[in-house]
Amino acid sequence: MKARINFSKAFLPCAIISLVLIAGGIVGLFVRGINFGIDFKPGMIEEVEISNATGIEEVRDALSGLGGVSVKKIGSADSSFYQIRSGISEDDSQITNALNAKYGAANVVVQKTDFIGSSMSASLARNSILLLLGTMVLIWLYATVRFHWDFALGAIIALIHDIFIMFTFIIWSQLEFSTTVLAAVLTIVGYSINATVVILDRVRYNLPLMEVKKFGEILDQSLTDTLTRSIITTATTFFAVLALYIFTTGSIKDFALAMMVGLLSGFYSSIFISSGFIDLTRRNWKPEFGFHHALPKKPAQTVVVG
Amino acid sequence: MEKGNKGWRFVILLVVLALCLVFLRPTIAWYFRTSGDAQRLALMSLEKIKEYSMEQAGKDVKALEQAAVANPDAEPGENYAWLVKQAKKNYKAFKKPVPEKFTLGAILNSFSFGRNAITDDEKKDVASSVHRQLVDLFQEHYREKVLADKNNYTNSVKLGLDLSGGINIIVRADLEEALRLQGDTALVGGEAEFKARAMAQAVETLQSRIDRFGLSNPVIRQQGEDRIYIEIPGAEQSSAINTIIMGKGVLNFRLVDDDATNQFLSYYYSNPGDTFNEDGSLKDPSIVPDDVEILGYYTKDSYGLDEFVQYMALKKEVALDGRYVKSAEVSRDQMGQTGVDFTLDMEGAEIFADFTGAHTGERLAVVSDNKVKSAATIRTKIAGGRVRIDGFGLEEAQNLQKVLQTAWLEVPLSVESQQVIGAELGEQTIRDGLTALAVGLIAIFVFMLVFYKGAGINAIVAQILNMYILFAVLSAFNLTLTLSSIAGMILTVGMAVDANVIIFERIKEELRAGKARANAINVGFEGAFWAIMDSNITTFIAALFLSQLGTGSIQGFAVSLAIGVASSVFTALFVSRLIFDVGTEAFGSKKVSISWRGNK
Repeated sequence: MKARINFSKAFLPCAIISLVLIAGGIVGLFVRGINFGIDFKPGMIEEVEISNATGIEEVRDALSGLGGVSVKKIGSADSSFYQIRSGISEDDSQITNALNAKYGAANVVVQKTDFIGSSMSASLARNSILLLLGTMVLIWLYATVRFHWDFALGAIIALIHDIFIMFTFIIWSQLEFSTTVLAAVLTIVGYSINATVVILDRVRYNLPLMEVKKFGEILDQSLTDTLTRSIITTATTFFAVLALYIFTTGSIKDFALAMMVGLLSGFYSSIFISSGFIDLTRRNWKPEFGFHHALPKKPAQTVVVG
Repeated sequence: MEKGNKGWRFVILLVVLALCLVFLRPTIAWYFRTSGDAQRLALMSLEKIKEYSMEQAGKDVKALEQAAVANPDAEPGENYAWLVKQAKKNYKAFKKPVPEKFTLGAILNSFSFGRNAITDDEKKDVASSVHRQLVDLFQEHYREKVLADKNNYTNSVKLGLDLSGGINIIVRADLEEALRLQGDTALVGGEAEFKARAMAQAVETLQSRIDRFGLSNPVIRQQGEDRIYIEIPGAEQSSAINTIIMGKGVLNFRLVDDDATNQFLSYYYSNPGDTFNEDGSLKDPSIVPDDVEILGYYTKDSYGLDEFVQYMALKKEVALDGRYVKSAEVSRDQMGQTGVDFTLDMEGAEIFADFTGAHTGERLAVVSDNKVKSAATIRTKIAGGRVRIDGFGLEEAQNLQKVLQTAWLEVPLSVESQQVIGAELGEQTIRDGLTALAVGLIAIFVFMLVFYKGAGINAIVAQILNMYILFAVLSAFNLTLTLSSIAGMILTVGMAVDANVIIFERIKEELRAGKARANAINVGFEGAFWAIMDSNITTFIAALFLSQLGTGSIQGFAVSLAIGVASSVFTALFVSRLIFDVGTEAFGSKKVSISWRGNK
């Protein structure tokens, strides 16, 4: 066995750091809000070329009567392309009409329109939340059957932690929250549980083999044993996602960015957060009950205790 | 696993790989072995394919006949091997000695076996019969070639809109407005049924209009209660498509000119493929009288698509405009015959009575969007505005009823969302995605080789097989490849390495504990088994749930992730193990090349 690294000393400080980060995220939610993409917010994004517009302020003025309209310039400073975003959900000609009135119909060319009605985005948001909850319940059930309820709960807490950390990042970086970014969050759910389960598997394996006083020592040993695996797997996945981030554009780039944050968070939480929680629930653990608290592992008999 | 069953494991691996190759075949055939021109042809609508085959057949047969007349002893080229085969069959069928070398003359002769021609008229008759047989054969030959390509396309991994470029549009049908326009007159089955019928009609109208583009594989489906989702790959002129969607259908009744029809058909059969210009107009307008035009007569085939039956010559003059039709129902008369009853308003009834009175005995066609949908003989003067067309089956009657209802059932459509992705942008996206995939893979490979030395090769082989299986499964289920599914693959690559890492770390541990190669590998794999299963099953659960979220981009991602997780378990536990065992037994390796530290 490798020399044991004392991870358990860092459990409490890490929990505090994570809580502070998440609190920061919640503050950010109220201060800055989530930059919802078109998938989640009913409304319209129109890309318009206005050949005789003199500046963005003028375009804003032209549309000021409509309310809830934001205007962005696309491309270089002298381009005449504008992205107009509005919460309009019924009549989609209001913006064009207002622009036509100001600049003349001949000078206004609508390049691209993305439109999502309110019923569509509402059902998407509801589905996403149900999906997230359903995934976690199933994962928890599976982990309870395979391990023990507090192991499973520790894994779920690590998951929730990762989701919060990713949202904290999404909020403070004002990354556009589209379905693709949601996919990144859901992927991390699958990925982080993967990392945690490998560690828990090791705890299950070490449990009958070690003669120790405190459960924290078993956790430390298991975390040490699996550390190389955790680092290598995170690194290889990170390479793949980094390649995505460098070579793609648009929503997949956002996806890759959110994934990178999630990967790091998953690496960290599988070591410090889930184990920290298990350490907490088993602080009164006595060695003689140890066998009772975990399923007997399959190949235990073939291993010589070193 | 027993040591002795290594042979069997190898066989299983080969079976899996062969199965994957079978699944991948159409994809490889389509993307790598089908030329751009052949792809364009195969992507056209069936109607266009038929037109193309007929045109080509006409040209080829003409050329062949001319060549045969010029030099009957000339030998056919390589590309006529299939024709020689057919000629051989003819010789055998008529028990004639099969010539050793087939000349053009011998081939053509074989099609006139069994017919005696003495007089000039008979000779002419035989010649035209040979010509028709050849045209049919050639047409079938071309059609089969194009349809084989189309079949490959259908069974291959398709590119999503974000990669191929194209347009997706969500159209909303204003059912309330349709209901209001309709008034109370035709609310036979209540509001819900009216709406369902109006939607079905809107979908069908759009389908037939987009079909006329000749673009292949447009997706048109109803979404929710009042939306229609349209996807047209490869299309870029959104404005043209908008016009088509918003355009109003034209329905009218016109007389059939039977003489002109026969005149035209006989000309058409003697000049196949040489009758129409590109735009569908006649090359030689003088073959039919000035006051008629040639339109196609269509019925529905078993897929509900318009199927071309034959050409008809119709009077240009409109006998009755469709707007006079007020309702249309399918019914059975006392004799049990199915027919379509439709009613006209007062004004229409008057026009119709006069017209049918003047043209009793002639045929009247229902023309919708320049397609003839029905042609029935006027038996008697029809007064009172109640008209019945019968003489066909229930299905045909229902189709005609739908056509007639477009005259009065007006469903206002509006574009709700529209996205245009240029083909160039799509190509750029493919390049980006593939670059990312390649760079990610290479980075991981180098890392694994550096970190695990010889064992890294196992991981790499497992990775490559993993990608191969992933693509094969995508192909087997005809799944669409989008940028997000490429992202899912890249992630799979990263995560699939994990299974290998878990195993290698276990083996290293056992080696450190002093075990010999074979034993360390055995114990390592066994110890890693549940860690790999548990962690991958949980990821699989997450991926399955993801694939249930309606949005296309997430689905593509989740599906490739789920497939990748499953195949990575197979490659890590099965393939990687096999490589280790082969090394142990076949090459008698005693040590494991797995880390930079010594084995002890």
